[in-house]
Amino acid sequence: MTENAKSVVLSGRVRLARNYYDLPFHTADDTANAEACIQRAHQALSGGPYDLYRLSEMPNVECLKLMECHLVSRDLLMHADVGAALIRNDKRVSVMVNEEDHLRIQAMVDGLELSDAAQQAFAAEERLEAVCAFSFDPQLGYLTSCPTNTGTGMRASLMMHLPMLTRFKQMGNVNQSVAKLGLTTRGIYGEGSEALGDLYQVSNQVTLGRTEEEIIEAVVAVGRQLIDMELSLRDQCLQKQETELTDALMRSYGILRYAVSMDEKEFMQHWSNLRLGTAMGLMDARLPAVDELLTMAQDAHAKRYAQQLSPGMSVERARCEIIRKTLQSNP
Amino acid sequence: MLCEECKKNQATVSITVTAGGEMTTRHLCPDCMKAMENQLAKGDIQSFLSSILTLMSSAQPNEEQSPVCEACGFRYSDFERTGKLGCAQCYRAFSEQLKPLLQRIHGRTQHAGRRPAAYTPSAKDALDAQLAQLRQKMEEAVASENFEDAAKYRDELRALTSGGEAKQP
Repeated sequence: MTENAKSVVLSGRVRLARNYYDLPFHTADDTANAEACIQRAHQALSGGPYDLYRLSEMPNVECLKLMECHLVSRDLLMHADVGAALIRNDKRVSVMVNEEDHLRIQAMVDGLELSDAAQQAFAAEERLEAVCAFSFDPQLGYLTSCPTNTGTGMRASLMMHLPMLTRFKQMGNVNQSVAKLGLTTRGIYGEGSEALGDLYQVSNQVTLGRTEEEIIEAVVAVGRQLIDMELSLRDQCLQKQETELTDALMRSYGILRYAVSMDEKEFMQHWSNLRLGTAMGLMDARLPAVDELLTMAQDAHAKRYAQQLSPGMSVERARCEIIRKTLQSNP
Repeated sequence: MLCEECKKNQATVSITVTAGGEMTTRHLCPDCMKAMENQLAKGDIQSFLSSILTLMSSAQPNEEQSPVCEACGFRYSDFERTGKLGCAQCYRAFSEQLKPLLQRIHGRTQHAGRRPAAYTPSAKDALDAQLAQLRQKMEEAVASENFEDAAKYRDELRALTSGGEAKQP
């Protein structure tokens, strides 16, 4: 990934929705069918390197940690009694079982390399399909619980940090133009979430009638355009309002380094400034560490850290400990 | 004009939705508009879809007459309510209702992507798929006034259909 792309794109993801041909879609209401899905998927991937996580057997905080790492979705957590995930050792591929569809296969990559993510998802799909066939229709493609996913069942998305487009109130226009291309933008935890931290997910809305390659090309092309727009606004802002901009960013840096207690919403605001400052070379933090901090300082991760450090510690305080440790270790 | 959502208050706003290249305009009262804005702000595509569905299927008089999928017992009205289908066979049971909906969501109704490894299409399926894709491309070329390409796709379509007929004894 080029430096330009890195300063705007955090990660890329490809997800495939698949259903076994012989079971009704809503396995969440039927424990026998739900168990059949888990068994089939587990059998298919038992050769490794995948581990099975049954949400019903895990503490709630561990389930939430998986969601903060984007390895399971909020929808899967809602069906935690039957929900499961098969997660590859390197945490780059996960297969959610008994979500809206029987299987949601997803692969993550660092940036614009969505074709790479698709190949990894297809590799898992082929193993899963070898155990039991999926619902497929020659005209409509892969059949899914919601017709918005029918066809390829593919959602290709980029997680992008767009603070300047947000600041200059361009996201409304972006949403409109992106919609005309059959794509959509939304908050980082998918449907129904706010764009916290100026983070947006750009993904395809249309899944039928396009090949997987066409879908990926469209998302990447829009991604590249947004990178150019965001970077050009960053340059303009630095030229015209250098003092105001650097002051705001360095203040956030100071707060992140020295605050003792902070809620998630405030963290996300300062984190956005930290990432912007780091990407613009104004601070000496490293981008990969800043991106990792985004996951590490979320509620469930901070709660788990507090439990390990000292049982009485608040989540807000633990969050500040995590932030300070990250920023000190890479200076 | 009455609000298309609640059918009680006077419609004072109109909202235009573009999906799959097609525009749908709805006329709403301020209360229903607010409710829809909330759905969209939350990115709640399921609820939004279900309200568009209700509009499209106003011809469906009541629940009992709503088509039913014999494989899973799901009614089309269940789908209108939840935005989700019961099983793979629902696509066949409700094909009449789903086709315009899929066209509206995706702008196309012929799959063009991957197929299961074990799937070998019959000669007819393969030809149907190829024809549908060419027709789609031709319509898009016409829509974008790219008549040279449109003529090329038309010729390819003719060659395929006349070729098919020529092989018939």
